Amino acid sequence: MKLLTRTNIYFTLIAFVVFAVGGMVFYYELGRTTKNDAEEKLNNERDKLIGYVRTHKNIPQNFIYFGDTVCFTKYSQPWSLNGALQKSVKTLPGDSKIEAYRLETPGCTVCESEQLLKDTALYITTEKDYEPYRMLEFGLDEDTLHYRVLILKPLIESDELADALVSTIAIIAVVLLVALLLTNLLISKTVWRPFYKMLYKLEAFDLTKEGPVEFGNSSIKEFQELRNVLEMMTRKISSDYRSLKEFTENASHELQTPLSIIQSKVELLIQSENLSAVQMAEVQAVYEATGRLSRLNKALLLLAKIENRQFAETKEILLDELIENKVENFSDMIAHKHLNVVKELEPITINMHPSLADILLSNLIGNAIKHNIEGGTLKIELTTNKLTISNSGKPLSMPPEELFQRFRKADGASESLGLGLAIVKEICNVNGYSINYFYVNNLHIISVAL
Amino acid sequence: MKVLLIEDEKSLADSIESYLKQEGYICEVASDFNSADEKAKLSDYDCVLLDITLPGGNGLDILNNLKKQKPDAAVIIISARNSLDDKIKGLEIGADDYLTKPFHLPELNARLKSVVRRRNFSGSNELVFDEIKVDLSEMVARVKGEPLILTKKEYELLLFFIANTNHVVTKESIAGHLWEKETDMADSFDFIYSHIKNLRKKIMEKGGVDYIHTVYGIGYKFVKK
Repeated sequence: MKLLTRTNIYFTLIAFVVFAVGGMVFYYELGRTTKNDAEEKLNNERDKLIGYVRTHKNIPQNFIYFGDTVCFTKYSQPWSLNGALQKSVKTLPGDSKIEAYRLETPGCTVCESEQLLKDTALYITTEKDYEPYRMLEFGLDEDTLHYRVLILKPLIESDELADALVSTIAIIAVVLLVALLLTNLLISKTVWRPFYKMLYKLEAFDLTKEGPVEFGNSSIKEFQELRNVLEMMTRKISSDYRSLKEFTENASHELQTPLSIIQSKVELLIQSENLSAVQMAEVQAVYEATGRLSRLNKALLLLAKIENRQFAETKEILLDELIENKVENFSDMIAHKHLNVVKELEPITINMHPSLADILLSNLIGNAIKHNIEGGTLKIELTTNKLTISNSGKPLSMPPEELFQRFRKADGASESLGLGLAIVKEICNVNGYSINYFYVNNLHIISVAL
Repeated sequence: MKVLLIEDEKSLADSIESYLKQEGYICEVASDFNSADEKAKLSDYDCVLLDITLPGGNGLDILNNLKKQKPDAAVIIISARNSLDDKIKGLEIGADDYLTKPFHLPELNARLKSVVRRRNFSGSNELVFDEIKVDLSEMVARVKGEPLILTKKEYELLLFFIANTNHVVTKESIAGHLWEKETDMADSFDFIYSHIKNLRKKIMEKGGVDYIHTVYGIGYKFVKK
């Protein structure tokens, strides 16, 4: 998943939560504020009313005094809230309303508390629905005047409020998301471009082919840092790789030279006429050990070189021809062991470094000859995607999974270096071939899936 | 025959010099870049044996300079670097052969002779050893005028022996010469024996002497009468 896609998903989720919570908070806050506001106005009007009654010793006859939103009703019937409310339906929606009821006894005796503040609903005929009101109820006693007064202020209807909020927030959310997507698109096209460029360059980076990589410039600090780190890293990797390569070559030189000296000295010693048989046998042992050391050194260097991908370039190789060639080269060793060679080769072309193809076949075929029995069978099969080499022989003395490990030797093959199949395995790794070993019907079978 | 040996390892140079002297060569040794470059330019040699890694410079530069001045000079590179690139580069500049260290002295000797023979190819291209005559252009060996029917390996073996007359050649060096890379895979060199036996038999059938002496456990020696 792309970074921006993921960011968008998270952002959308978070935005959804934020808008939901925010909407709720907004809803309650708005409700509370309108309620407070209504209460303030209720108290205000109560004070005005009390003030008027004190001054004029009468309840106002005039509605205009309280503004045109006030509907003023006077009753002198005994107090009954329900009856009073039934009568107030004539009011218009959204209008405030004051109702004063003349009482025979002081207002406060009717109700225990001085005043009562509560939510209520009025049935609005034009709307054919109840609408929420905030109501202040209090007793008003001035000399012989006793009133029970109700002041009602309309509140915003809660479902209307919710509807309005939901639709507003939804619109904001959609606009925000669209804006976000567009911004991200723009960002990925412009701001992130250096990043993707670096990524492609890094992907294409091949240690064996080139030196350090130039990642290009960017005006964004993080990308500059990334570029610096990448350039430093590839430079370091390249230089390490170069020095490793140099090391293997130097190691080769440094080891081969003393080996050459030993070998040449021993060869000169062999030429001398006056060595005793015992001395000659000792010289021979030195000579053979030197030869083995030299082969070992060569094999280890080869392994290192393959591991370091120093055989990166490939060529088209006619595998069947190469196999015929190899078998021909080995013909003396094959004849010496009286092996029966069976070849079933289809003409196959593969892409591989020529040296590696050569070594792969040499080691596989050589191995099949070396570990064969007198008069045994050597079978080489080549099909479109499989090379199978089998040879007669006794079962393995080691677990098959250890066969391709370094310095693993079959019993009685102490002269062997134990690196032949390790090299084969490494060549297969480098070329992406899989290699398997089976033992069926007294045959060791090694198959390489090309 | 005069050979210039450019090799910075004194011990190795000594061995090569000693072996070549036994073959009757006049051998001059140069052990660093400058003296080698100078010697190669100043006098004429039948062959130059050139080590690539030298104190003071790259052996390939010497090869370049030498080839500019004397395009016909015969050069064999002896290098510790078993790198295909170096080999290709060396042969492109004009080296005649490329030998990787460690090498067998008889191998160097055989290659040296072969290179010099190719260079001095004038009139008869024939190798004479007692009653054996080898026509190198036709690749036919004759004993007392009668052609030997030899396999390719036996023919190469005969040339290798003749090149290293009176020297002990080990089984390893024979195997290395005839089979090259495949010998790395061999667990014993017993398979050489049948070739030796056949060659010996074929020479003696045509009335030749048994030149091939066995040096027990080590190898063989081709001995002149």
